[in-house]
This record gives sequence, C-alpha cells and structure tokens, in this order.
Amino acid sequence: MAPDCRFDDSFAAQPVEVRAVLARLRRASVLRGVPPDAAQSCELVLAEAMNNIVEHAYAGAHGCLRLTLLRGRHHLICRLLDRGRPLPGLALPSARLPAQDDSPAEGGYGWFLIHSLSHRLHYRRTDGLNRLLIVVAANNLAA
Amino acid sequence: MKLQAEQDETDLIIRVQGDRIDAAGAVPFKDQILQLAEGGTGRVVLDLSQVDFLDSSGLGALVAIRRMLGGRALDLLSPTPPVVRVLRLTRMDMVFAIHPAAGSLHGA
Repeated sequence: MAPDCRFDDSFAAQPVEVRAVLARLRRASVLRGVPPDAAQSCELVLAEAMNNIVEHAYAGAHGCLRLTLLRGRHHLICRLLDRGRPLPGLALPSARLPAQDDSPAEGGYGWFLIHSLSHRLHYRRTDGLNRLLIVVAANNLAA
Repeated sequence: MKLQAEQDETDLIIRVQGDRIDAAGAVPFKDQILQLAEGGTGRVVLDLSQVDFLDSSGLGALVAIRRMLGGRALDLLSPTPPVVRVLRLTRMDMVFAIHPAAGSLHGA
C-alpha cells in the first residue's frame, strides 16, 4: 500500500503533547520510506518549532496547536498553526549559534537548529493566527 | 527517565535508559543526573547509546549539568548518529569529550 501523503494532528500546547505527536508521526505512514536523516531532521525541526510555540507563543497558557505534514516528491512540507502571541517583530528569529563566551550557552539553540536543518522557512501572522511553514529536504521520495 | 549508575575506580558511568532527552523531560533529567553524581566520584560518563533524540532543551540540560559539576568532567559515551549530529551542528562536540565506545574511555 502506498504511504499516506498527509499527516494532520491537533493537540494541546504542552511539552508532553509535543512528545506524543512526534511519536505518532514516527509511526505514521506518511514517513514510510523517507531516508532516516530526513525523518530525523524533520522530527527535530518540528520539536524545536512546537516547543517554541508552547514556551513562548502560549507561555504556559492553555492553547491548541495544529500540525499538518505533506509529503512531496523531494520535500516534507510542514505547517504549524497556533493562536498564541506572535513572534517578536513578526519575523523569524535569527539563525545564529548563541555566543560561546567563557562557558557554552545553555539555551538559544532552537532556532539555530530549525534554520540549519530546514530547506525553507516562512512565517505569517494573520487574524490572530501564527502560521509557520517549514520545508525539509528529502531526496527522491517515492510517491 | 530511568538511569542506572555504576561506579568504577575512576568514573561514575550513568546509563540513560530512555530513548529521548527532550523539552518534556530535560529538567527532571538534569536533577536526576546531578543527584546521582553527588553519590559517586570521579569523571561523570553519560552512556547515551539508547538515546536517539536530543533537542535543544536536552542539549541545554547537558550543558547545565556540565557547569553544575564544576571541575568534574562530564563525558559522553556511545552517542547515536542523530545525537552526534546535534552535538556537531551546535559545536558541542568541542565542549564534551565524546567516546564512541566503552573501550575508548581510557585513551587508546
């Protein structure tokens, strides 16, 4: 049977729910046959983006998060929707590694990893809704 | 997270028996490791052979543990390819001593 071309899930914006949806995605047919590197990149980028929404957009408040993943011929196309606070300045945070002065930084790696492991990123805020589009490259995915 | 600690003459080896160090578990993970470290002596070696997912919160926990151990070394043993990738991308492979296998713990 051909793998599904779409994965769609809505869940509460909480760290344990982020972990649970990533576990469901790992088992989902949509990732069947995807090269392990691409599947791992996709999982990590989504983890960082979703945890960022939980910690900053909702900042502990109740809220809902929706993940849609589409399987293209050469890419995994992920969309995250939430109704939390917008990204500061309505723009994607920087791709820079945190400064390592005397001792290594204990945070600030999330957006660096998202930028490093994604092929394309797009953020838009409309009508109180944050839409983050993340494209992860996955070469020659069979349909 | 299930952890198993074993003390030898030079090292406290802690085997991480969960498959992910992530945002949902990073804080208790850090606290558990620090508590185990107090009960042992010497270098702290984290066996990561069962961990196949490390996110930025898990990475932050590792860096925080290293700082809180003060002068005591924190080494990583047998990290899996996805974990090595995160360590390399963030240049943490320059911060932690990484041992591919138990045999390499005590030099060549």
